[in-house]
Amino acid sequence: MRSIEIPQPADRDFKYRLFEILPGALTWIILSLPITLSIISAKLATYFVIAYLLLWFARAIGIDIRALQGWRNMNTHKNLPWKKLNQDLENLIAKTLNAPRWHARNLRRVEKNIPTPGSNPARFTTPSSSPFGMNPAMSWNPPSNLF
Amino acid sequence: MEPTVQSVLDSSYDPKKIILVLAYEQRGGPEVEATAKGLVKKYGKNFYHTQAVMHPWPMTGEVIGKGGNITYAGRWLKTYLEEEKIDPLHVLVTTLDSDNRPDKQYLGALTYTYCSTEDPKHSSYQPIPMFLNNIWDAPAPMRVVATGNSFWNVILSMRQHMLRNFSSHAQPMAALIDTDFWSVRTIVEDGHQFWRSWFRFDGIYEVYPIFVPIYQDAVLTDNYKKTLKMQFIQVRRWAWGASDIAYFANQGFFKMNNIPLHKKISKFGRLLEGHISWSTAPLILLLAAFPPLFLHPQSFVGNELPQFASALQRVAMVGILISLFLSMRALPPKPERYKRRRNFWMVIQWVYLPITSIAYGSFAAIYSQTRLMFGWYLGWIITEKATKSERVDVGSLLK
Repeated sequence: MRSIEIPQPADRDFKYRLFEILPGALTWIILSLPITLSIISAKLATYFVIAYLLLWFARAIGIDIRALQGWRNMNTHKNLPWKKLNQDLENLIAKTLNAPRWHARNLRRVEKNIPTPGSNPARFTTPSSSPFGMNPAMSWNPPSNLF
Repeated sequence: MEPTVQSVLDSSYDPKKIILVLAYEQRGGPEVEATAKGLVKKYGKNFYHTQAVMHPWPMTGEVIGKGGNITYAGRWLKTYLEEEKIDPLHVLVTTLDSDNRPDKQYLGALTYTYCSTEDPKHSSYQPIPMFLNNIWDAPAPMRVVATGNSFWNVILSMRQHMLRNFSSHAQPMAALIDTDFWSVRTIVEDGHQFWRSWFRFDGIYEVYPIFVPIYQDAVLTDNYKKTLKMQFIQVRRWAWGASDIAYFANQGFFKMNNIPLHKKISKFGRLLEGHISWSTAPLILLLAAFPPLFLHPQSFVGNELPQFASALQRVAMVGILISLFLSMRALPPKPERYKRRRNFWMVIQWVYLPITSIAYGSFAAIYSQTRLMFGWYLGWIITEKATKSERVDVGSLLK
């Protein structure tokens, strides 16, 4: 198995150092562009700045929409009856009233994917008698959106 | 420290399903040891198991930081689970700093998400860090930074394909054993853990958002100047995440792996773009309209540019006003000791936004990236927060 450790400073070779320099170098180049381009031509610099502004303007709209959605999402999730939802998940029966729509969908998917002793013994872990008994469904399918 | 343990206990979740591990540093001295052991004694009986684990000092090959501490505690937990015969796949680990307070619903939401994820082992679970605990006590610039960062985390939670680990997050014990826990060689072991896991599992690794907050402190120390400085230190630590760019290149491009190239290129591009935008966007958006004008006062486009820029900025203000409005509603209730006019200052503070986004956005990132460029590697300095002074981290290890 290959190492996933960060190399110690002394072991960082030239290629590694090059990529450590990359972000800083790009940052300084981009920061100097409005000035260096201005020296070459006012038009060039102006177009660069306008392009940058427009790009970020479009991004800002996206970010604002996400902020609103995220905020709403957070308030919903903070007030969900998670205890009941978890009980449903353990029994695989959707009993919770007014549960969000994804709840029933998640239960169905878990039911479909839950390993049984026959299906794939290699990946099946026997439920233990410890309080850590709930068995997460396992499969190698690419995860889909939960909520 | 104690409020964190209390907040875990107050969760609407069965505490008997929680193993609480208090990871503390020998470096912190006997005082810290006494605190940790005192907490074990006081709260121990409430949880499935409670343990204080001391990280010895000095440790060779480690940077001073949280990574070494929680990794040491993680290894202890591994042996404990073996002794207790608990399947590590049934244990989810959340690391909490000593100022972190998970929302009551966090553990429930986490359990639900974990148990309904298709590939739970190769996933981690990212709640929303909100830096609002002491927001009413913090000075105005810190309030702006803290609220801004909290909102940024809300925004990130909505972009699942780009979501990476940050601050407190949860990962299954089984996966942590495979990655040999967290890196002990970086000061940003939280963000780095994403890449560590991503490369360990050859790109089969997802981050799921938990849309429930973990409340943290805004930066606040006993004096104003120090607070300004500590805020800078906090952000420059986050910006040190730029060191993952070289780590990525080394793991992804120079070592054999089975990750598809297109996946690597898009992840690498986003990582690089994120750090460059962080350091350049506030400066360029706010100031770049002026150099063409100063260098070419006669140029028509040069003269038009600042007006065009300010028109765009005015429209963008609408967005800022929206987040301002939302941030007012997100605040914890105003403590009794503050008069009503404190609400007014909570609104007026936003005039600091251009300054803070340059000083604590751009400058902190430029600082980190420049140090990295020259190989002046950053060690770890603890961001001091007002509700605590002891150097202890809580690893609360949860079902």
